[in-house]
Amino acid sequence: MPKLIETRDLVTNFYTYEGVVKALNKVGLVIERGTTFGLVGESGCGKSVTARSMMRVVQEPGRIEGGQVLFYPGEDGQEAVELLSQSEAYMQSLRGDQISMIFQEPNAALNPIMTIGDQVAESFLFHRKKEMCAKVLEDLKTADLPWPGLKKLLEFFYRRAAADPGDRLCCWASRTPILKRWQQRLFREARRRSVEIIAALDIANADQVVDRYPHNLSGGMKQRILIAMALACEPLLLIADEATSNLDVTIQAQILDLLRKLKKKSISSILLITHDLGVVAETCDRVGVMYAGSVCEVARVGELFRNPLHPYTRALLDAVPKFSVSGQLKSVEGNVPNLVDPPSGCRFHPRCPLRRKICAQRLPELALAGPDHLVACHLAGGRSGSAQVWGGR
Amino acid sequence: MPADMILQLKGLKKHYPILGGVLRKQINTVKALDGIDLDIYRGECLGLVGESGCGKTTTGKAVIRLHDPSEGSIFYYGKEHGAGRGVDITGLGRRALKKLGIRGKLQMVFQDPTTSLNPRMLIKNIIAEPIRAQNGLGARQMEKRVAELLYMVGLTKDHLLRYPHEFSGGQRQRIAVARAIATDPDFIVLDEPTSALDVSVQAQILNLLKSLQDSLQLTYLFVTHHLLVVKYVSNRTAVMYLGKIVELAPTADLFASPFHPYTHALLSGIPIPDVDHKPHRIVLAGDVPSPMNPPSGCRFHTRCPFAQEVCRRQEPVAAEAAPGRLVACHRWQDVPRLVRERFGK
Ligand SMILES: Nc1ncnc2c1ncn2[C@@H]1O[C@H](COP(=O)(O)OP(=O)(O)O)[C@@H](O)[C@H]1O
Ligand SMILES: Nc1ncnc2c1ncn2[C@@H]1O[C@H](COP(=O)(O)OP(=O)(O)O)[C@@H](O)[C@H]1O
Ligand code: SF4
Ligand code: SF4
Ligand SMILES: [Mg+2]
Ligand SMILES: [Mg+2]
Repeated sequence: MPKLIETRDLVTNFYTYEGVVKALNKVGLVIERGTTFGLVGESGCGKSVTARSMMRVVQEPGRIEGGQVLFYPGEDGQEAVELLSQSEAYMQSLRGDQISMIFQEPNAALNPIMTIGDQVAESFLFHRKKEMCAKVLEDLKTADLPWPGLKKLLEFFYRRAAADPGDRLCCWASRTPILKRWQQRLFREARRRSVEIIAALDIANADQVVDRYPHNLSGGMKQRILIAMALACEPLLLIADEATSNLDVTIQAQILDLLRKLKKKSISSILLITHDLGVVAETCDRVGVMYAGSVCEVARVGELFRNPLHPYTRALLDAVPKFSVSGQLKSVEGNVPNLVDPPSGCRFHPRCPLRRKICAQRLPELALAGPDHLVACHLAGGRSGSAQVWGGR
Repeated sequence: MPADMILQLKGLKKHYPILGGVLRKQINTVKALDGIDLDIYRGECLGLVGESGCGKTTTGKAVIRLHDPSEGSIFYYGKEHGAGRGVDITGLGRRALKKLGIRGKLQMVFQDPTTSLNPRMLIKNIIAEPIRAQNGLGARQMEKRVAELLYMVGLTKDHLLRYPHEFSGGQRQRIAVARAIATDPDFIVLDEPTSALDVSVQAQILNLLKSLQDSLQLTYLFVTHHLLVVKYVSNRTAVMYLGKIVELAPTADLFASPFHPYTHALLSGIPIPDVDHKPHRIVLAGDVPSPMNPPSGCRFHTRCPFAQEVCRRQEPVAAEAAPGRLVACHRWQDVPRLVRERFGK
């Protein structure tokens, strides 16, 4: 599969009063076209910061200090755009259009005093103005208008807007009383598209839902609306950050089902961030496991669950209650470290049952330990024969 | 499982009034609990599962008398009252409970360890608080007892003189557990004790709770929305939907062969951390209805894939489907077949 987006040695720090939080420690990930990539790890390990760094929306007081984010917009995955060196205007046109993001907390992402329809329409108006003006122009040809002059006038505006969405004259007209009504047809088109996309997400009475406000909707419904907004412009990459974590089992099942269907229909890749290994096992093609700001293992989902090589991945898998297995859960001692003063070398070494002397001294690099299986551990890879050390599984 | 009962809930209801308008008149009621019958046996861990808002926490709080139920009764069968002699604790106030020596016997651990511990109190005092109210130990003995409790939950004496914010979420939950076991209880309600924790810490706490149950001979009511956790810890499981118990069964049986359509949907909806497991998912339509106006008849009929006319009209009563198994559904006998036909399980 050609690549879609890639991070290389990404370093992001937060400058807080307690000190510098070293949130990302050279994160390297590759997401391929048409796949669902799962990013798992316990809270605070840097999953959200990774996603935010990729889109350059890291919150204060965070700063991206190093590395690269390479985006491959072409089908073949050849030409790369380095996102960290692009202008903010470029990023804005990318966000919500080619890359969209949905978060855990739908209330924070929805504006409480705007109707659902207006909020979805906004993303069309921002990214698809040109295309929609062309559509309106097309419709105008057959439209019946009270007097011919009006048609001429409207066509004039829409032609200009279709050629250049930021057209000065159109912008001025939009702010002038009476004249600003030229946009009505554009708004109607945006609304039509909103209803269409909301209906496509298995929401009944979409034409009524668009006129409601967020507080009238249930949690599951709000999350659907956010997905609708994110999918409005058919993005190449959808980043879903703990998008189902606050939902109940039956509602989560609905949303995951929906994502799976959407994934089949449109080619877009999904970066699914979650702490729930069950969600990963069911929905992802490839998985990256993070611990304390580093990626420790990346593999195809079947390989990762059947043959986990990193001690932390194994610890995580042993710690979750399972359906078919009973018996004592194994738990790793200790807690996720404070990232102001992270452990030296391998950040997992204070909790690792297999640590060696070298582990505290040198950071293990992510290296190939099997076909399409990357592990960052001094004991993995061809060097020391991981299978013997761990006695197989 | 020992057969003697420790608690019995009979027809328990809790309706919260909704006030509205300028005059703050009651305009509606939230039927958080709407007639719950539940027997809890000594030494067991009874799991209580269901989606948020179905009344799990309200049930737990009613049992340890944190609020007064609107209707129904709660009987406590303490060891000290003699076998089979229950005390109706439904209407008893704090003072009466204390006089009967029941107050310390029923405890609760809450979901969020950050808000359930007073941030301005030292750990020492947080844990000592319930014992201080109970018996007059000297300062020296008290400290010894608290250190002992800390040790039981996997912390050390060094933690005595610290504040809650200095601890991680998992450690705070350990402190909450220490406080709950301080009064030497018989019964503890664990309300989503691990829902705010990470998986590796969750495993630590679950194992701690299991070992404490053995060593202190505790009875648990384990409230959670996480079904795999319930499967791991509980002997029997009750499934709630909109203020009612829809199914009750030994946990192994419930997971192996559920009867109620809602249980089927819940179980099939769990994301399983195992790539070789192929789910036959029953995706329910719609949301949980509001407990203010629960649907008529069977409350699940608005989302049930097998609902019939009778379900809309008549409320199903709990039937004994097998020894020790209760299910409240008109069509429970047909459900396994219907699920197989419709969803190919
Ligand atoms: N706005 C912020 N200010 C300070 N530190 C932050 C901020 N956002 C994240 N961090 C730190 O970055 C680390 C990674 O956080 P995050 O990516 O949110 O974790 P998660 O894997 O749970 O999504 C954490 O240690 C957190 O403390
Ligand atoms: N103090 C209260 N006042 C009004 N309604 C309440 C109160 N406490 C709980 N409820 C309502 O009762 C229902 C059951 O709540 P709860 O027992 O907390 O559910 P669960 O613990 O299963 O998520 C919910 O609909 C909730 O909104
Ligand atoms: S590098 Fe060392 S400490 Fe880190 S996971 Fe591997 S064995 Fe454990
Ligand atoms: S009583 Fe009817 S509606 Fe209720 S669960 Fe059974 S079949 Fe479904
Ligand atoms: Mg996060
Ligand atoms: Mg609750």
